[in-house]
Amino acid sequence: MRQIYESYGKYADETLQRGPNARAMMYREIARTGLAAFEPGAKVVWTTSYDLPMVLYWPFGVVPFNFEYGGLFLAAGGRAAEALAASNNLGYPVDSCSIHRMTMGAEELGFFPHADLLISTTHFCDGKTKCNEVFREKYGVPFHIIDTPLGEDEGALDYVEGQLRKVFDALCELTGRQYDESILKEPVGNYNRVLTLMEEVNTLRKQKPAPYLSGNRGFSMTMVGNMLYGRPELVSVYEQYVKELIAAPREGGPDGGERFRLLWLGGNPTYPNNLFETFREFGARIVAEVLTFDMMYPLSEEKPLRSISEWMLNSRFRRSVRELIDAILKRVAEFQIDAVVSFSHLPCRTANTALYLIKERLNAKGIVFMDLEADLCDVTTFSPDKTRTAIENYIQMMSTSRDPS
Amino acid sequence: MAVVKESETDPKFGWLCSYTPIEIFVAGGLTPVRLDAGDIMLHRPNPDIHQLICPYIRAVYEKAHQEGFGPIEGVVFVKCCDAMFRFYDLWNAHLSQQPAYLLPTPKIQSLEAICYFATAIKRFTEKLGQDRGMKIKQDDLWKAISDVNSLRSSVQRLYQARLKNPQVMPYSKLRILIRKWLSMHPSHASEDVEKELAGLNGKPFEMPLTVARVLLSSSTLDQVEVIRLMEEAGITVVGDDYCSGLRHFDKLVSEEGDPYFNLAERYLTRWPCARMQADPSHIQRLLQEVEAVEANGVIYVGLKYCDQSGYDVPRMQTRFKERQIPMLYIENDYTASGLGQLKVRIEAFSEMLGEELQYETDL
Repeated sequence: MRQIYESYGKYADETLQRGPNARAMMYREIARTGLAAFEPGAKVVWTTSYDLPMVLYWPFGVVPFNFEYGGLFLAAGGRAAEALAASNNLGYPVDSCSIHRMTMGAEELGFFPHADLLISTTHFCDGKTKCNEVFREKYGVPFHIIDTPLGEDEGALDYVEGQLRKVFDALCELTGRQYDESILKEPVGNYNRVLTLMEEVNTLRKQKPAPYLSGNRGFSMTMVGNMLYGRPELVSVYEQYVKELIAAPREGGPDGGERFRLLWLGGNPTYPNNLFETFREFGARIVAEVLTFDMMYPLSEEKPLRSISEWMLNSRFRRSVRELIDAILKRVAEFQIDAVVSFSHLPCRTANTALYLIKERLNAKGIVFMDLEADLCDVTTFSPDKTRTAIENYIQMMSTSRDPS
Repeated sequence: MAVVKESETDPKFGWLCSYTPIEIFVAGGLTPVRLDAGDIMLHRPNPDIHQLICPYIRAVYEKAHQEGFGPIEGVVFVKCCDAMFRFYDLWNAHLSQQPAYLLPTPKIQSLEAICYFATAIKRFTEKLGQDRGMKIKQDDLWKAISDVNSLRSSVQRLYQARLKNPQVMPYSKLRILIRKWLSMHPSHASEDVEKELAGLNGKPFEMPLTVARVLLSSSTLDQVEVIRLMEEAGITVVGDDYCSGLRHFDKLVSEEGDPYFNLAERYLTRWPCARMQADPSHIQRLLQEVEAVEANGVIYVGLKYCDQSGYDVPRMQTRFKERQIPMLYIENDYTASGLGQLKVRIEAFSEMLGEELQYETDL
């Protein structure tokens, strides 16, 4: 893990020598905060960042560590085979989510920093909860799991807020601080400034043609960026990101110009693949990601814990498929989307069990649903040829529907 | 106090997860029916539902499409696992003639969680009553609590009686009975259990006494064929630990105070399954049970794609190894397929248990 963070730092330094770059700035911060977990005396909290905003941690001077992301980073760094093998060796089911298998394997191999405190949520997903259960037994450190209900009424909010207060207490105890919720004011302010910039990003990407971004840049900005929610550095990252979007080519560009507009649903493969190269070849631009909008609930500087509870209950991961479809359709209209791309992580029960319903509804509205199945971490499940053929077919469908003659 | 109807013609209401407070249905004049699809074999692909998910869910979905559960007024889903949560979505989309309800069920056991769940149960009760054009009265709820408690007590006593003399009732037979009782009105089921209990006195042995005493653990297991394989291999199943076994009948609901709080408290603090962040944990509770029934081995039947129980297995294996209790792990896809392969493994396990016990006796 340490080597992975060092490589991010090296990439960032080299890139930034050539001038400002939002992605490099973000990874520089990821590397810095990640390496801090390995410093002597560091107090490390294993947690989840997409389900519990990280603004909670920075004022305490602790280092938050998202073990699921740790697994993803290791997979991206080419360590999937050994970590997955270690998980298999321990006896964890081979057909469960590879992100959690990466987590279990990487932990067993000693890749992760130590844990002083475990803080997580019950939703989403089952695998994450079970990983936490295993780590609680193994480390014997204080463990706080926030039970996230399905309701959004005052009762549900009170229930979550009450649990968050206990988490806040645990952080105070770990760091010797007095209970004072106002310490969250600054990180909440930083997060809200980032939200404003994220809105600017979205406005720019709604333009037709949208600014060209290489790879799945928008997705990684949200996916990785949420680990830094509340950091002042993320404000600078997003300011730079906005500048880059303003300057990015609309007409022409490396994809020869925008022909089709795509909305990204689901995760992003961590290993080298031909997805984005193929999209580029056909002028298919990813102009929005569903994940981004799930990470954009404003927080209150006056009532931070209450608003963090609202943030958590606003998560799409706990919503019905019907609501998810409505959210997708809203983005389809706002961003003038031609196709929704679902990179379906094969073992994800939440994403896949009722995936067909999404396809059904979108197709009924004349929107192409690109279902590209594989595993997020395990490259052996990915076939570049099959993926290319599938994309070509979907592109053909979009071309035909646009010009039936 | 109003008398709850106890007729076979009562309308039926479906449930899937053992965390469903069936007392609410009973109080509403409904017979709770467990959606058990253990007797069907999936023979065609269904494009509506993903292939790599819980085979129990896929089987129930298929059976519901075939109208195999008969007339049911609706179904309650508990957010017990990720797949079940999405199954609720699928049911709503494709089987909406039978209304689906979703009950948010905490995974933790704190007082706050119990209070939250109590409110959720109360709301569900009101909604169910409203949708059925009636008000579910508190007196009826108390009566239902008492009826379901009676059933729990009877089943617990049956397990205890059988434990003294397992030969009087093969476990496969008990399993068939339990499956039946899970879809009957609790008061009728109680009568049936009591008859079985009474019949055990002086009953001739139905199977030979074997040395291999095994506790059977799983997430859910409705394939009696798998259990029969064990019995044919000379294994006596002396206890169980799965959703529709004794665990389902653990702990009574207190019959004093606030009924909703009592229900919430019972369901969240009963013998837990792998979904719960419980104290004692599911694994600790299993270890206690193995000791209580004096099992000398454990067979764990893993349900394919059940992530929650899958993550328990390595820790179970470690704990049993520490205690020198042999454990056999086999996997099942909620069908009676692959029995030949299972037979070989179960027979080998039975032989190994026999040899170990012989070795201990020799010592």
